[in-house]
Amino acid sequence: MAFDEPACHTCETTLVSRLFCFSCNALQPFPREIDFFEVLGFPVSFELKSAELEERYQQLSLELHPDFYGSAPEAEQLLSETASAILNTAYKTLHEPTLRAGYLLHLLAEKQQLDERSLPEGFLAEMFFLQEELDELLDSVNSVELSAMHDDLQNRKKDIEADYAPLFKKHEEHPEDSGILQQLQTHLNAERYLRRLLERIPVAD
Amino acid sequence: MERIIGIDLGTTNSLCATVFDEGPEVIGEGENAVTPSVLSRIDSGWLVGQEAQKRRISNPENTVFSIKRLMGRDLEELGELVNELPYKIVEGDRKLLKVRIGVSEPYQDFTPQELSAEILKKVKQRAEAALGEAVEKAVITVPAYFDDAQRQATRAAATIAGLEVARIINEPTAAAIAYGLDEKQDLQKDGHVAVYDLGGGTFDISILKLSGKIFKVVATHGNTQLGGDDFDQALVEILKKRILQQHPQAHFEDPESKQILKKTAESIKIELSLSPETTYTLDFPKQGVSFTDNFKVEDFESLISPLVEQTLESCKHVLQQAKLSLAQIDEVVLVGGSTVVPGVRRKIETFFGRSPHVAIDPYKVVAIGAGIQGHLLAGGRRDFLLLDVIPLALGIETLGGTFSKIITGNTTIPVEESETFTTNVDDQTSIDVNIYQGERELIKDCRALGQFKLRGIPPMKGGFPLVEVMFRVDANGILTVSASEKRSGKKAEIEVIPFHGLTQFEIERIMEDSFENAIDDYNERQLIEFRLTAERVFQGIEHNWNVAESALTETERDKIRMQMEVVRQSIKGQDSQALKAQLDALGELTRPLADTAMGRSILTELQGESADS
Repeated sequence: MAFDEPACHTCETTLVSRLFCFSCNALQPFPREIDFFEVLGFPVSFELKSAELEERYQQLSLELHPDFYGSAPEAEQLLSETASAILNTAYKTLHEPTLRAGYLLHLLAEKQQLDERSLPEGFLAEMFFLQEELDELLDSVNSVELSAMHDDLQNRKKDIEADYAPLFKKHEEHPEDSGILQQLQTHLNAERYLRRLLERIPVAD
Repeated sequence: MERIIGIDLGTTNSLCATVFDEGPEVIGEGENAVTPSVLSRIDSGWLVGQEAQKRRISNPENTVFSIKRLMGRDLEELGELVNELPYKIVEGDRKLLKVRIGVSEPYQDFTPQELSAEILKKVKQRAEAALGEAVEKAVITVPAYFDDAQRQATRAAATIAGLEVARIINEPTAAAIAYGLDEKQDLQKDGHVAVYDLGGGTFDISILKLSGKIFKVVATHGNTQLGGDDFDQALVEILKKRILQQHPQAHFEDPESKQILKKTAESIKIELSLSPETTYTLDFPKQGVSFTDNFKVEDFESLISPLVEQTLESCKHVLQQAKLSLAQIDEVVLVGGSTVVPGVRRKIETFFGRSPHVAIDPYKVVAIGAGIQGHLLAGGRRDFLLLDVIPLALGIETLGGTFSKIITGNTTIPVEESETFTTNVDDQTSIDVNIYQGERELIKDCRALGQFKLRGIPPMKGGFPLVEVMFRVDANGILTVSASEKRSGKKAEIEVIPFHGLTQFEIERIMEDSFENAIDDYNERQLIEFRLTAERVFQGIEHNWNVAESALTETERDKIRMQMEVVRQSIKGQDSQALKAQLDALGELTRPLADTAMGRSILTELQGESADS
């Protein structure tokens, strides 16, 4: 992931985001295979301050949105629409830790063969058990136990999420160790199962 | 700077607004500011607004209202509504609805798009008259929960009306703009705002996050088939029962009775917003039935309670989607005519645990917000930005009738996502894909938006082509699809067949028709005008004939008499231009008479004056 300091097409200032030059206020033509970190102007890393991300997203939205290009030439209107669309997707992906982890793993593991279905030992059996338990609870409308189960699943999910940052950091220190990436893949897969179970529990009023 | 007005195209009323030097305001005053969304057919044209409203009882089968509820829908989705409405609704190709005018063949059928266009035309004309300038562009509001088909239908209506749609924005978002940018409102400018919008036919709840210059919609939920109309309908059912107890022979299936019931229900609802009890009288002269009774506000409130509960369910749902608790909502804003009903307002207040903002007229606030957005789009300001969402997920049908989401609901727009498709058999050159919108797992529970056919795929082994389809939702919340085959780099052709909607071709045809009709209408208006002129001219000639006796020769008088006969024949015809030519000829012949007559009257006046002095 080389971050080769892109420059503005008009004034050649080094760009923060590949989408827009804050120095001369020009929309930038960008390559299709642009990654979401480049879109928002952050280094490719799991570490990302939520407030900084939010601020950059707002800054860029206020420059790129098609609402501000109503009387611009058609090519510019189109570019603003495409740029806004990719900005929105990039923000959404990087904003959610799970989505960010999944996306970053996808970028890092590009050339490596990961087992995309791997799960922790005994995890699947446990999930089957939880699934049956949830079915019964939903049938009996037992709100106390349902909410206890909700909290339990939520905690497990949080435990998994807490591991993302240290694992990505470890990978930065040991990029040759593909086992770390495989471990991240396993975590992400497990979290997806938990999320699906959580989605089935109606939120109490 | 060009002007882009904001139009609130409502179920019951439509109005428009713009930003004046003094600030944003509704265009027009008093009755001229509001156009009831009602139209009534006369001969080959439409009466729109107040004039049409008056004909709802006298001419129910030709008078159309609540068109917004038909936009982008089909017969099955309308359900009971079809029987409740006094006008006839039929279904055409691709489930496209049509309103049928006429008691026998030949019927005249109109799509909801064409009917909405008539309302938009009226709003446009009124705006032009009030502003004294041409209006060509507009921001049009729709319920946040309108799906792609309903948005497309709204845009088609505007196109037919000769309006360029600068943007389609959501009604609750428009209201949030109006409140958020109004310095007089003590609305917290950084925080979560819930906008509760209950109109005549639709309900929306949106949660926005205001931070700095940005108004970001976090989540939205609603029901495009729930509104004040349903309150009326619930009342109508009770009224029917009450009448039947006293007059078992009474019946209500005819359009006139339906209108009488509906009108009475509306006025009971309005009265009960002001007083705890109201007396009403229903007269059905054709049946010899007259019925008078009282309605108490508590009876009305328990009647509408289940409907209001439905809206609160949506509120719970939207909070869940926004991942927010009630305590995290900083402000509540009320929008739409139905929020003036005290019983509704009380329930909202209890639910959110805070008193809602109502300072800006709930009837006007959406139009005003749209007007401000229009001002921004025209380049008049750039100190705020609205980031809205797509209300429902968009996706495609996959194996076994499951719905595979490509863009999830409540995603900020504009947005694009791509999906790769391939062929099943060797040398297959086309793929059909069905597009759906909704939040459920199976396509049978979602709305079919249309089908696109991918054509021009280069012949390859089955499963080998990689057709990348790009789904793009623009800032209007409207979907467009494009595709290319990645191995060959060839752009695949896409033909989108909309369900419940008009194709580009159909829109163009309607516009051509309305252009032809416009000429017919013009001819008709001219005919009426020239006939009136002819009458005046005849009266003038008769009045001055005594002058003619002395001022004109026998031949001249004969010529005039003959020409008057020619004009009389022309009046019976349909050609306005021919009538005009004959009138002109008559004017030419009578000029000496007019001159003399005018000379005389001036002389008489002068004499009169001198006599007085």
